[in-house]
Amino acid sequence: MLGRSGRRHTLTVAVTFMCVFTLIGCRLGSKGKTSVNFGAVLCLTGDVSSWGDDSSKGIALALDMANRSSNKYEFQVAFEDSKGNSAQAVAALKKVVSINGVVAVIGDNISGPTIAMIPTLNAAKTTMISPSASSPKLSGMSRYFFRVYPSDSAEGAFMAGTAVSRLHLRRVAILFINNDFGAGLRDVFTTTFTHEGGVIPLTMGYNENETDFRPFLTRVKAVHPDGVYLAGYYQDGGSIMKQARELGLSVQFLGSTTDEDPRLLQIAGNSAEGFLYPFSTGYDATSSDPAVVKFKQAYTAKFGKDPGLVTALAYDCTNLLIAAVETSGPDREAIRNYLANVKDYDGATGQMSFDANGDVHKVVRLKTVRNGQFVFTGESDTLGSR
Amino acid sequence: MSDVLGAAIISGSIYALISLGFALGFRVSGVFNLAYGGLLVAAGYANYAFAVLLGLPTWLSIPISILLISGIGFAIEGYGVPFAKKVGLTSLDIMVLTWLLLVVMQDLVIIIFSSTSIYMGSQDVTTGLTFLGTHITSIQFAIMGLTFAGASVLFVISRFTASGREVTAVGDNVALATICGINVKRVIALNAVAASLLAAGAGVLLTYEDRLEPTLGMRFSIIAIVATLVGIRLGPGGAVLGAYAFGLLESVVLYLVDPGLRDSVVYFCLLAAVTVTYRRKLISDVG
Amino acid sequence: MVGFTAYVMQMAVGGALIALALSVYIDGIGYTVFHLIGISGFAAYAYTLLTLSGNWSVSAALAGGILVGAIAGWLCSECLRPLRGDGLTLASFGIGVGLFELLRFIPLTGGVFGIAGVPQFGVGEPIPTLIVTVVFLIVGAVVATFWRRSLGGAIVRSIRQDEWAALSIGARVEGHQRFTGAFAGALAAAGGIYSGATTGFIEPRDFQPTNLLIPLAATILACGKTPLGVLGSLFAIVFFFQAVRFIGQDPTTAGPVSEIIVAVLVAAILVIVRVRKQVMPHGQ
Repeated sequence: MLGRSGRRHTLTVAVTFMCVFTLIGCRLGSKGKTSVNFGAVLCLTGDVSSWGDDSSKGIALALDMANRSSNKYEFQVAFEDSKGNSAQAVAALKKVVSINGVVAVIGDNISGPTIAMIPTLNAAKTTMISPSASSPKLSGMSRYFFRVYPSDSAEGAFMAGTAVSRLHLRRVAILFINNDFGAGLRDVFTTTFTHEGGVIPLTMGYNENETDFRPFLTRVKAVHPDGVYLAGYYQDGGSIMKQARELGLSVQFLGSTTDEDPRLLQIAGNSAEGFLYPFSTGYDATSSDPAVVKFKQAYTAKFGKDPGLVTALAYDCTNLLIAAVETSGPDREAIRNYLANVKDYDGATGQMSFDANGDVHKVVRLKTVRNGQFVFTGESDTLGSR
Repeated sequence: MSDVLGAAIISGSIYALISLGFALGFRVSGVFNLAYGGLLVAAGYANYAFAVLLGLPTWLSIPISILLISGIGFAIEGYGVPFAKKVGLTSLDIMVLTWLLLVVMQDLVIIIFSSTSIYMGSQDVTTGLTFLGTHITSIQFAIMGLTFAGASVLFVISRFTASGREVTAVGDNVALATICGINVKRVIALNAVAASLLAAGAGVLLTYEDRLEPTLGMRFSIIAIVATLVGIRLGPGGAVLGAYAFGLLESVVLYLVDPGLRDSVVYFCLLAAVTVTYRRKLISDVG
Repeated sequence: MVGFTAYVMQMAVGGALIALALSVYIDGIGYTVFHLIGISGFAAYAYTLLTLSGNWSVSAALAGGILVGAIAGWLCSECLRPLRGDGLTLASFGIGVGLFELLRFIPLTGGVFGIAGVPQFGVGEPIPTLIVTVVFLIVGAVVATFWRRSLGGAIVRSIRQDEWAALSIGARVEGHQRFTGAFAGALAAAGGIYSGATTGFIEPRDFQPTNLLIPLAATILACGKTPLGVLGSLFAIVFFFQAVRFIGQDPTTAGPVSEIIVAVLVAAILVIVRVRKQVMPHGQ
């Protein structure tokens, strides 16, 4: 029989073994799988928190589906909030890289914090893939950066070309939201439109929480444009079109991809009829493509409602990383190399390939608001990306 | 220029609606309550929560929202501010505390509603009256009517009734008012109730006119302060005139310069209004 | 862990310098102001443009940026000199927003895109970066403490308490008030430059007046005590905000909930301090 010290010694050894095996078990994940950590640095609070929230749902869905089907890996994600702030984004990235030991990162939703994270990304040699950062400045900024959202240069140029060649507009005023997204679209549209012979009689930027656009619209009215290009988000676009009608301003409104949201129609009402905007991200909720249908069904089953654009983009980001790990293993450089060689990947937001700058190029199509619905203007208006 | 005037009238009426409750509270407390804008935003989101998320009918969601937020406003103006003064906090301390309260209220709205902007209106803009080239909808008419009616009532009460004179007396000198036999606590409480009801009502009405964002609280507070300081010599109703004057100035300046500088104009007006109202003799002016 | 902790410390140092600037201004003039963070932004942009466009050395650009901050601080305090109390605080908020708007609209600053590639102190190497961080912190604390204990600091505090009495004994009231504004501006400038150089990226959004919550909270929590008290409070708050990332499963805890906790704590401290009638950071 063991004495008291003997029993204590045995108990200690037993507990130690239990701890060791528990830790090993955790590291292996459930059922002997290797645990793989991703990081997600998103705007979970702040001005675009709805995008961060939608992204997190897309990521969670992709991981859930992968963990059910994978025999080898247990995928996990460490969510961090950048708050739309560059310093906080860098802190969040440093945390997930150095403490959570992630092999790749998804983020951020907007371009400013994403640009701020690039030096840390390079130093840590870790891949980051963004669902929605669209600034042209990000193209080729790092060999470790990829994105599934087309650069603003695509849709801005497309709308400028549409204004000139299809709508024959000669004078288009620009109202842009005063952040990197709006300013980026403004620059691309201006360059292309003026190059094709158009005139920009007025360009004005508004603040991010602006709700009263009447001072802007009185100036727009004074320059008698043929059209107005709205480089902003759906809530601004809706308010602008509504208030423009109040002021008796009757012109062709052109918008951006982010305008496709039911809340724009709620705000603008009948004022949105005939509004034209590009469809550049590839997510067509009405598509019968198997990848889209699978995504929609899985999302609806998990969350009880239809998914949105940003959710689909984040879902594709995550699935690309999962595919990279399953093909090349949970190695940071191997993941990077896999993404760099992706060709014709079939995702929920369409088929995509990354170019040397880490950008995707998707076909841009024209959509409009007709009878209170977002509809395509017609197949003949498919103009291909620029 | 008629478009500018039309836009100024609409903007001015919105500013007047925002400012009326603040001016009433400021007249008695003398404190820049920065949480006031947060009350407007909270009222709008409360109505959205009751009407859209919980599915209550409008005739129920609006009164519930107004009463709920008025209660919070009353707690601030009717109890919080007097208590703070009683324990020795200065006006600046109270202003900082109300700023911190605004931060808390905004963050709560962001946590609950996830930074979503809200809009409760549904009316086609062309169904209103056309004036100076501008369509003015029935909601906007309602806003104008309410602000003028509210300003007129407050003006009459403050100038021609005993209660109004009591409010003026308490606002000018609490100690003297107490000596004169005025029930100061009752005056403060009733004034706080009126100010809070106006604030909550304004917040609810604004969501039917245009969309509301969680972070607009500070801007509403600043607009209210500017309008109040501009109309300060005219009593509570003067804030309405101050708001229209500010709306007109803003529309004209933005028309001539750049509408993107709107925040600059608002805060420059704040700087100017505060400097003109509170400028003291400089040491260097002496001898 | 080391990399993350080091970065948080760098964030804290940048905020600490701005908190020191705020405490100097409050100590000298007596009222809370919101324009110092705008001045820190101006200085950060000045440093960035001098190095990237003007090809100045890092040390020369740092000196230039601090000088810009001092001049801006002096000019802003001139605008605010006729005011006192809550009027001064409100007006300074107006100036702070004005500075922020200027940063957004002047093309030279890159507008809303911000500027990437801001030269970093210590060129990103851990040991030099740590040395620079410690140097900034120590110099800022020593300078603020020296001023506070100097004759000039004592005179400014006496002016704050009774301007007319100070004038009657021959104190140069205007000169001291101007110096306080310039000195606070210089400290804020150092904070802004340091923060920009730490991240390597600056944008106007980093310098909004509402970002003053943490430095203001630190100053209030220090209850008007020594600069070391301000530094300690600020480090505690910044580390708290980042430590919250490790608590719980909800990553949004680090954002609004932390802000709410800090706001409530600061409000409570402010009320307690006033009620107990200790040394006041706001003066009369």
